[in-house]
Amino acid sequence: MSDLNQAETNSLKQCRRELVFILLTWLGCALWVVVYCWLFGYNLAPEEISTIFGFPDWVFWGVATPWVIANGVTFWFCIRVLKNEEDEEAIE
Amino acid sequence: MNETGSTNTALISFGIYLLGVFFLAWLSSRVREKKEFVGEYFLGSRNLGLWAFALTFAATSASGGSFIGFPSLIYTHGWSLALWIASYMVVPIVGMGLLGKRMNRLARQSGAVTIPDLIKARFHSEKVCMVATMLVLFFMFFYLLAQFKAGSKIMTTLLQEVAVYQAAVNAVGNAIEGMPWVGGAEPDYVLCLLVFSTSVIVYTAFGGFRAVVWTDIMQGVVMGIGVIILLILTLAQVGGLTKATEKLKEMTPPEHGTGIITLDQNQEKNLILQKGTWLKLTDGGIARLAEQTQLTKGSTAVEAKLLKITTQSEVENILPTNLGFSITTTFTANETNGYGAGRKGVYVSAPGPHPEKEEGFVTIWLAISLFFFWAFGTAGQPSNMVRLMAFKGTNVLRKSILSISIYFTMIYLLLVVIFCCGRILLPGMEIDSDRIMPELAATVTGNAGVPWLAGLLLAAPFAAVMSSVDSFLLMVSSSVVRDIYQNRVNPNATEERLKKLSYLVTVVVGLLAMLAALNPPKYLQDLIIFATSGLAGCFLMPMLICLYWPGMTARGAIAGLLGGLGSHLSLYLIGFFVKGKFESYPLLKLDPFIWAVITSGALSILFSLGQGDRNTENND
Repeated sequence: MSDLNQAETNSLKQCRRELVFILLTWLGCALWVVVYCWLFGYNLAPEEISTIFGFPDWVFWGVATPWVIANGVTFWFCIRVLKNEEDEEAIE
Repeated sequence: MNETGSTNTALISFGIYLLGVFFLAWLSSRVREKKEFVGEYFLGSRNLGLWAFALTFAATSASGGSFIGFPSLIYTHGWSLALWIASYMVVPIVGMGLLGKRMNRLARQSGAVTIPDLIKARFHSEKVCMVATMLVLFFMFFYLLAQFKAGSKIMTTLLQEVAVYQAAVNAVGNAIEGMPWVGGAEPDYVLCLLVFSTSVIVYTAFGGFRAVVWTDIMQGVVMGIGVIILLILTLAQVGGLTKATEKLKEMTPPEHGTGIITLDQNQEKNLILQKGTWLKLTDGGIARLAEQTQLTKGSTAVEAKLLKITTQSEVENILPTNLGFSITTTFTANETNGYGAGRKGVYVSAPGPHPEKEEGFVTIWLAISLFFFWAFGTAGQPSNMVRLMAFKGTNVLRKSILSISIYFTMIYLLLVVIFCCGRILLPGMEIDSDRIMPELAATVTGNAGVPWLAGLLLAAPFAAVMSSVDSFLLMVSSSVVRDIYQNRVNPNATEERLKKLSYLVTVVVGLLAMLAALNPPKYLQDLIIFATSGLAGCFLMPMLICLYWPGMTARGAIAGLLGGLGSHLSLYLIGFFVKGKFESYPLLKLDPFIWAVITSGALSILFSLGQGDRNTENND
């Protein structure tokens, strides 16, 4: 196998790993947000809602918190999971 | 609030903003003189750096809806919009990470400039390239037309009180009266459409992709700064978010209805009651006039559409407008089956109030559909894919995903906070909720003693809609020039010929969209949804699979593209027969985009697997 083909194979393998990470991140966030909000965010009377930093509690735990965590996971993805192409200069 | 001051500021900010845009177009045309034309004009020579790539992606994703429609929804339905928009937490990683690296690599290896070009390079197939080109042209034209209308509507909304503008509207009204095709349109809409579309066509045609990207950077910065300033001023004026949410808990949705306004004395001339006038009701309540109403000389009573405030603290605090004459007003509420009427807590919990829908606004099924749609719909938009072909390397992609994560958090989550607070500062905006952004900007800057700042805030919606329209315009013209003319009609065309053709096609496509938008179809807003979900439904899976699976064939790609189209059109057709209007049928309560993605993905795989010799077929 030529160096170029080997580089393409390696790139594809790495990109597939990144793809799986992205899809799992989406799935995790979707499950957290939808399930939490469905259980704790619907049809509430005023006395059932407390506030955290001004957010209704279900928004804080069901949307704002996973949003911050999603940003953390994205940060991790960019720093640790997403790799440079080994032949990046060669394909210019 | 000083209406004239605020709207004059809108006109000035729009003028300065346009000057900035034209300057950037001129600069980019200077850069282009030294480079190969097609690659530079349609893809900026593939060397977008961090800020250019990140902000062009963000600005193109945020259309006029982000600053007009979305704030209007937040104002009307409250905190439930946090759930509605929640998927934006993963839009950067999904929208840029899903296809970015593979697509950029293939585009660089093949020299592809457009998405059909890239597909052709991947499969060595003219057929699949043509199918992709036709799909881009079909959906993009609808989208372009709809965005031209949206841009014009935003301008009419923001400028409606400016005296110079009103004089120009009258002149246009006289000029177009009786003209075929145009005569039926509102003169203010025609004026704004002409100004808006001419500006966009000129700077896009003149500057090409680089101008679009540079203006996107400016637009992205304007949007970001605008949101931060608006947040600070709004929170300060409501006394903090906790106080605002506590007040929202006690609020109940206003009632739409009809009122009879009766004069207490004979009037000697015609009287006009302006839209937005606050009227004291005979039952002690307070209501807002939802339309301009005229009491003609001699008459003593008139019927008018009203919005009755039902939150007790607001009823006690709002003073009726001083009219200079005495009237009495009665109110009869419309009969409705909506969700949340008379109920406290609906603005701080899901599904959020809705005046017509019994199940409320953000049902759990809508939340599921939207979590899928925002993330994968962004990844599947060809206008976003083109940007993924243009960044400089993985380092740029990495830093851009990080930057956009922070940027989207700042824009979308904070917009929910801002316009939930806006409900408290500006009651009764349901009569024209699309104006909540300019009204809130004018109010908070006026209260803070810095009315000139409203100009910067009002530039954000202009920026948002223009940054989307220019990208779509360039996509359509690149499809015609590159995918049809250069690839099929005249592969040996000279650089000079391609240059002239690119300018010409960009201008002609823009003019055609503008002409169509002069007399737009009735269900135009639905067309936007139709076009965006259609494009993503057709392109996402074939692109995803072809980039990650070497075994995919041209036949599989064609089946995927057409399968997505078929599924999308079928659900719209069923929806039309079932509901009697241009709307999709929500099979199992899910968005048609989800079904298009499933169909398209399944067909792409099945047709690729069911093919014997892949290499032979691909070389058609």
